[in-house]
Amino acid sequence: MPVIEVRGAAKTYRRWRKPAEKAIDGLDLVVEGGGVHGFLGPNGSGKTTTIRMLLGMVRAEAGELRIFDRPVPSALPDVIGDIGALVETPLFFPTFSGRRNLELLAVTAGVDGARVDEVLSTVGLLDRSSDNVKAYSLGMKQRLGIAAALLKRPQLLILDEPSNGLDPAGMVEMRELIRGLGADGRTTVFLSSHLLGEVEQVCDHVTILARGRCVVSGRVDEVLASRQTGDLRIRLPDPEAGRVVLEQAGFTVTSMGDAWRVHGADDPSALTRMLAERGHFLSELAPIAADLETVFLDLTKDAP
Amino acid sequence: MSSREVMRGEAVTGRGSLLRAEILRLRSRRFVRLLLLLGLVGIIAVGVGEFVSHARPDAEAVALAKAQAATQTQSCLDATKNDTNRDPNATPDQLAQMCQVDYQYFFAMTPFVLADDLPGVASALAAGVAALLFLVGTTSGGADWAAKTMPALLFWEPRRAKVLLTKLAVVAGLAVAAAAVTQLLWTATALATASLRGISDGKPPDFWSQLLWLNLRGALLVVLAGAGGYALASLIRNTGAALGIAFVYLVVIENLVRGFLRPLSPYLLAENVAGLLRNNGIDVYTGQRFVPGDPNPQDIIIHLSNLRAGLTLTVGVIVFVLLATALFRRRDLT
Repeated sequence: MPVIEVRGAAKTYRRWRKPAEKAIDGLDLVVEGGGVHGFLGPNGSGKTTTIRMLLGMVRAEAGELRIFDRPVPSALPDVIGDIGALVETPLFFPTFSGRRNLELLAVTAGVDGARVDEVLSTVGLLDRSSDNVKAYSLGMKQRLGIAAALLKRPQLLILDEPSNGLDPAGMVEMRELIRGLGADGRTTVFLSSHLLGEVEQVCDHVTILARGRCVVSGRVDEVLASRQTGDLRIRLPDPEAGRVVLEQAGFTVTSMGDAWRVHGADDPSALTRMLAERGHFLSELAPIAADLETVFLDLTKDAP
Repeated sequence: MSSREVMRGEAVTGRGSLLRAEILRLRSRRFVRLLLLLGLVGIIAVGVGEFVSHARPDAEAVALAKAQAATQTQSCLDATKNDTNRDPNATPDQLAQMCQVDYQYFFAMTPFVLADDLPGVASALAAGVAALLFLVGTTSGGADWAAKTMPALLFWEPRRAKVLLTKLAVVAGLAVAAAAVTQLLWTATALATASLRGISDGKPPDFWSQLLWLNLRGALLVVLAGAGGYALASLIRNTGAALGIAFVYLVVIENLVRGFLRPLSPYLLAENVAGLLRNNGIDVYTGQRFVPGDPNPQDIIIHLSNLRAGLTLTVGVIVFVLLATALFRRRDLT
């Protein structure tokens, strides 16, 4: 059963004296349970709007949205207890301490007060929990937002740009936390991010969004494999002689340490045959998969 | 057990209470605490002021005042007898009544008269506490939007109407408590002042029931002010703008209506507040009209009874609350 299911969702923002802005345009999205699902897209592609629609903050004009197989926003009150969310900047009362903010949320949700200390400890804010939120840095507010999202020990954790404002060490910790949650067997993390490296490192699945539509979705390795670069990594017993042969045949060859990268080798069998005919037998040949950045830029290049 | 129940998390251990959380949230707000403290200081100041500005006269002061009043009354009677313009049909009793001077005017410090001063100050305090609760309501609603905690709370309780109405209920509850504490404190202060520095007798037979009725009307006004302030701030989503609009409405719009649209005067806020708080309501002048056979125009007076004023204010605030709720339910929160 998918944890999140979106079919044909559409949303246009209409603002007074401003042109209408189509944010979501027939979006289809399926997030299966467990693991970390990345949600990638350029700025303005509709990631945050999608999350807001799922959480009932923004009304979809068309389509069907479901969480835990229940329609949202109508059945949101039934499932909200299992959803933790951090959408853009976390929002807290600035004149209350971090702990006080979480305690009030715990009372709202009927969460045991002891859980407040647990989540503060998880995000490394226990020592500063008595300080007013207005004294927190952006990164600390972000951590507090994660702590709030974890308070309910949710089965679905929706994180919108959780690394915003975190220092490099904080980002590493955050990624470890997200990976750990995704691997715990009961939590599904839906991670919206513009950090391609983060998604590539942390996510099992990815959906890429452009102009309010899903352009590709699937396991990260499958998405990458589906977008080959046309380059090959080869190793030869006599690397230098092999390179000369390849260049004479019109290939561009660059070094990859102890191997060569052959650019634009669309037909590996022809290359293998050509080298063999000249007395060079490959000890290794592997297609070079695209990295997520290449895939992302390729898929979203037409986006405004 | 369904699959959903099996999958349920472990952290949610009991029923959440939005109401309890909102009470704690409001109680934790420093600005609200400050306003309530200021209110308490104000009540104490009024009590101390009433205590020190009154004195119970001794027998000698009463005798002196009575003598002065008698002299004044006699002077008036003498002057009236010699007045050629006086009504020739006036009886001696009527003349005596006209010239009667209350001896209490001649006390250097007047005694605290429970029958007059307790309800009089209670009305003023109700109006003051209502203004205070309007501020509490407006700043609470504005703070929710300024800190954007209103949308954030929907991750925890997505029923928007429930969220807004719970917050309103908390403000209304605080208003009831503030009104009750104020009236209790003032009544206790007034009783003490009357027993030490004033007069407790001379109360009409229905004095206490009238006072209770006045206090209930005052509490209604305070609740409406708090709820109205919160609803206004929720509509505008900004404390400063909400207070500005309220100020412009009271100072500019209401005066324009009184000047140019007098028939609408019975629906104005200030008139209805006065109609609600004053015993037996108030009369509002709404213009003049000519009646057949009479060349002189007649004033059109509308009586705003306590009931009518209370209903007008209540309906007005309910309209605001419904508007705020409807808008909040429909709004995209981006």
